[in-house]
Amino acid sequence: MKNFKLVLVALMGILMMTTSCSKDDDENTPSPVDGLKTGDLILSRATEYGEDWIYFSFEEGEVEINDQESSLDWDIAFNRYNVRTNSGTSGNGQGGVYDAGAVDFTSVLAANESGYIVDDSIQILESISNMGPTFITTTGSDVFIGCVVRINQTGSYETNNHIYVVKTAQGKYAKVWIKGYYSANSEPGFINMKYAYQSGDGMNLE
Amino acid sequence: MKNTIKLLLSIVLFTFTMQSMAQGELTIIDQESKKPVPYANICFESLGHHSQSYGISSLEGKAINKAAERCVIAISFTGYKTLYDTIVPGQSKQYELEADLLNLNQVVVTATRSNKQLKNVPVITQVLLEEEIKSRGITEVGALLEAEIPGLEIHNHAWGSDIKMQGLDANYVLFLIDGERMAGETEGNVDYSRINMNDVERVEIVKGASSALYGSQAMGGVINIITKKPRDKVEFSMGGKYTQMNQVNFENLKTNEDFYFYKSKLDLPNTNLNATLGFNLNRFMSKTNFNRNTSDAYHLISTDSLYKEYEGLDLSDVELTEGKAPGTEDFSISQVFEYKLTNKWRLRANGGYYQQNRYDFIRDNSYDFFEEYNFGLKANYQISDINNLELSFNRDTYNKNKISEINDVITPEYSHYFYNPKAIYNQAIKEKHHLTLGAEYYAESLETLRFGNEDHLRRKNSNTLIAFAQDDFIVNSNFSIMGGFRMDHHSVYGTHVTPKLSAMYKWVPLTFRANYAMGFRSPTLKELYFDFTPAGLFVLKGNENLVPETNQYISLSTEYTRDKFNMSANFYKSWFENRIGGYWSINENSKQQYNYTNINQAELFGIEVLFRYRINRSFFMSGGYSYLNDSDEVDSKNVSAIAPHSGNFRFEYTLTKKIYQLKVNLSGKITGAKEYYELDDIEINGQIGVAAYFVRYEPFSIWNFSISQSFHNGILLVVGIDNILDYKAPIVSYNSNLSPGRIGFVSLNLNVDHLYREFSSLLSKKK
Repeated sequence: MKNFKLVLVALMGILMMTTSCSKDDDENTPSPVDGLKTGDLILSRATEYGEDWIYFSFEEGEVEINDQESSLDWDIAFNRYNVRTNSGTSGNGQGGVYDAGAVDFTSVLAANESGYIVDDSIQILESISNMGPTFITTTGSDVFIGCVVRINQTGSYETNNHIYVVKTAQGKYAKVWIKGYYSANSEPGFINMKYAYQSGDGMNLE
Repeated sequence: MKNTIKLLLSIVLFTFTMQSMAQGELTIIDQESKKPVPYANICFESLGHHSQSYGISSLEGKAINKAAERCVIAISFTGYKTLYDTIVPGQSKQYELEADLLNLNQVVVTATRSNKQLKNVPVITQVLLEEEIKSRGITEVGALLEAEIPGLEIHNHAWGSDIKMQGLDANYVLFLIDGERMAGETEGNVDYSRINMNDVERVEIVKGASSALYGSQAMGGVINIITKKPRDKVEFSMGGKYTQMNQVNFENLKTNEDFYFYKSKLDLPNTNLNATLGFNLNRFMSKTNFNRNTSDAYHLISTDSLYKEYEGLDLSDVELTEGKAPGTEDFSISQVFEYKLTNKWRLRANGGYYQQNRYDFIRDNSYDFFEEYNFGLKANYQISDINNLELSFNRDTYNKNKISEINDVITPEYSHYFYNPKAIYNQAIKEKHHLTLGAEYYAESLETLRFGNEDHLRRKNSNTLIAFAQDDFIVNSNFSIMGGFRMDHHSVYGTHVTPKLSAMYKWVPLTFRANYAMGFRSPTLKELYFDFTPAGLFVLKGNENLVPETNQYISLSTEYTRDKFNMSANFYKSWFENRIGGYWSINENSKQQYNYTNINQAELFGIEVLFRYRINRSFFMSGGYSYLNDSDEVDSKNVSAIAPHSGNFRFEYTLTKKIYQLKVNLSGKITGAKEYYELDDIEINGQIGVAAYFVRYEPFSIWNFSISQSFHNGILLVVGIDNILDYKAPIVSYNSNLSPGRIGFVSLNLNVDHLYREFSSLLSKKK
C-alpha cells in the first residue's frame, strides 16, 4: 500500500512536470486566431554614430531600405539609441508612436485610438573627438528619447523600460519594449526589443 | 555516499581500538584552579622514529598514554602555554597547564619569516584566532579585519571590495595565504572571496613596511592567512550559515518572465556551506576542503544629496548617488598532502581550484566568471638541529571571463598568473644569531584585451630575481636586534635594494620596539603596458619607464603586559617617493589620454593603540584606536579619504559548564568624520582636467552581536546580528560604508569526529 502511494505521488509529479513544460513551449508562438504576432530579439548589429540606421518591419523583420521616406516596407528604425517611425519627416507611412509609460509589457492590452506622435527632427551624435561630441540634426521620434540612457559612473547603458505603442506604415499597431542595449556577448550598441504586433485589423495587443 | 560514511566510521573506530590497547593515563589540570582541562591537544613524537600520534583530553582531563616508545609529549590548549615533557610507554602522569591568557606565547611567522613567539617578535603583530572567528560566525575575511583592526576600512565598489589600512590603499597591503602570494588584482585588491574562513587557524597582521622580507606591495603591511592542519587521525567537519537577504530586488519571480535569469541571480540566498576532511597518520597528512557561498546583490540610494562645488571653477553639481554590490556564487576545493619521508625530509604538495560567478545590476546579457587554480610543492630539509633548508615552488592563475546569459559563450577578459620558486636557508649560530638567507624567482604574466588592440588578447610578462638575508641577533634575554636587506632585479626597471633594521628591548613589564624599514611596489604589468580606450572615450596609457614606488617607514612602540592585561602604543611615520599616478594630455590621434607616471610624494604618520584585557575566566575585552595624519595632497588640497580617527571595541563573555560553552560577543567599529577633497575628471574647454570638490562624511559606528553555543566541543551553533543599530550611510559613495543595514544570521558547525569520540567514550562508560 505504501509503495502504491509512492508510485502515485511520483506519477503525479511527472505529470505536473510535463504539463508545466508544455506550458513553457507555448510561450512566444503567435495565437493565430486574432493575428497577434510576438517577438523578442536582438538586432543583428551595432549601429555606428552618424547616419547608420537599421530598418525593421513587424511583418518581415530587419529589412534593407534604399529610400526610407517613400518606402512603406519598414515600420521602425534604430540608430544607436535613436528611433524613427514611418511617419512625419521620416517617412510617408501612417506611423507614429505614443508612450504608455514604465508599465508591465502585458498590461498594455490594446492600442489607443489617437495620440500618436509623428516624427520630427532630432539631434544624433555624429562622433566623439577631442573637441567633444559633435551632433547632427536628422529626422526621428522625440517620443523615444531616453529609451536608453548611459550611466556615467559605470559607463554602462540602461533602458527606461517604457512600453511604446507604435503605429506601423500600414496603420496597424504594435507595442514595443526596448529591453536592452547589448549583444548576446554584451557588446553595447545592440537594441534588444520585445514586441507584440497586431497583424489583423483589430487594436488588441495582448 | 553510504559506503563513504561506513568507511569513515570504520577508520575512526579503528583509531579507538588502537587507543584502548595502550596503557597508562595522563591527567591534565589547570595549574591555578586544579580543575581538569578538557579537549586539550596532545602530541606524542617518538624520539627514535620521529613518528607522531595525537590525542585529546576527556571532560575529566584524562587521556591515554599512546607512547609506543620514549616520546616527547606536547600538550596545548587555547589560553594555556604549551607544555613539553618526555614520557615512556605505560607511564601515568599528571600535568599542570600554566595559563597564557592573552596567547602571548603562541608562535607566529609573518614578522620574521620564521617561527617566533608573539611576545618576542621585533615588529608588533596582531593575531586573530580561529576561535574568535568561529564563535562570531564570521565567514568573510573583510568583515573580520574591519571589526578587529582600527584604521582599516573596507569600501565596496561594483567590482568588489577595496581595502585601506593605515591610510594606504590595497596597492600597499600584501595578502598572503600560508606565506604565499595570490594572483589577480583589481586596484591592488586580491579576490577576498578566495579566502575560506572555515579553514583559517589564525590571521597574522604586521603593519608597516615589510618589503625586505616580502618584496613588492608590502609597503603598508602584510596580512598572512594561516590555514589549519589536521591533528587527529581522522577529522571530519561540516557546517553551514544562513544570512538574511541584504535586499529583495524582485518579488514573486516567475520562471517564464522576462530577464528571469538576470533577476533570479540578483536574489540568491545568502548562504555558506563547507566541509573538511583531514587525516593525520604518523608520516602522512591530508586535508581536503570544500566551500560554497552565495550572496545576494543590493542597491543603495543615498538619502542625502551630494553637493559638488568645484574649487576654482564656476561649476557645481548636485547628485543623489547610488551604490551597488553584486550578487555572488562561488565554489572552492583545495587539497594538501604532507609526507614525512625521513627524519630530515618533509614534503608538502597542495592544490586548489576556485570559481565565482558575479552578478551585477548591469543588464548587459552577461555575467562575470572568475576562475583560479593554484598548486605548490615544498620540501623541508632539516640538516641538523641548527640549520634547515626549505625549497618551494608555487603557481597561481586567476582568470576573468564573461559568460553570455543568452548563449553561454565564455569570453576571456584577462588572465594573470605567476610562478615563484624559492629557497630559504635558516642557520642558528651559538643561539645568539638566527640567520635567514633566501633566493627567489618571481615570474608573472598578464593576458588582456587592454594591451593595445582591443579585439584580441595580448600577453605581457615580467620577472624578478631576488636574494635576501636577515639576521636576528639576540644580544641577551632583554635585547635583540634584527637587520636584513633584499635585492630585486626586475626585468623592466632593473635592480632595487631594500633594507630594514629593528630592535627590541624588554624592561618588564614593558617592551620597546624600534623599526626602520623600506617598502616598495613594482609597477604592475597594467601600469607598464596598458593601452586601451574604455568605451571609445579616452585612452589609458601605460609607461615602460616607471620605477618602483618606495617608502621609508619608521615605527616606535611600547608594549605593556601584566598577566591579564596587554596594551601597546605604536607611532609610525612613512615617507613616500615616486608614487604612481597620472596626468591628462591629448595624444597624437587627438584623443584625451591618461598617462601613468611616477608623480607624487607624500608622507603620513599615525598613532595606534591596542589593548586586550582578560578580566577573568568569563570576561574579556579588547580594542584599539587609530589616529592618522595623511598629507596626501593634490594642488595643496587634502585628498585622503580615510577617517583620521577610528576605533574598535570587543567584549566577550564566556560561560563553560562541562560539555557546554556559551560565548556572547559584542563588537563595534567607530569611524570618525572625514573631511577632504574628492577629485573628478571633468572636461573643461575640450581638455579633461582634474577638478576638486570638498566633502564631509559624518562619524558613524557599526556594532555586531553574536551568541555562540558549543556542545560536546563538536556542535557549534551561532546566532547573530550584524549592524544592530541599522546604520545606513546617508551618502552612498566609494568612500562611505556600504552596509545594507541590520542583518541576522545563524550558523551551525559539526565536528563529526569529536562527536563520535565523545559518544563512543560515553557508551563505553555505560557498559
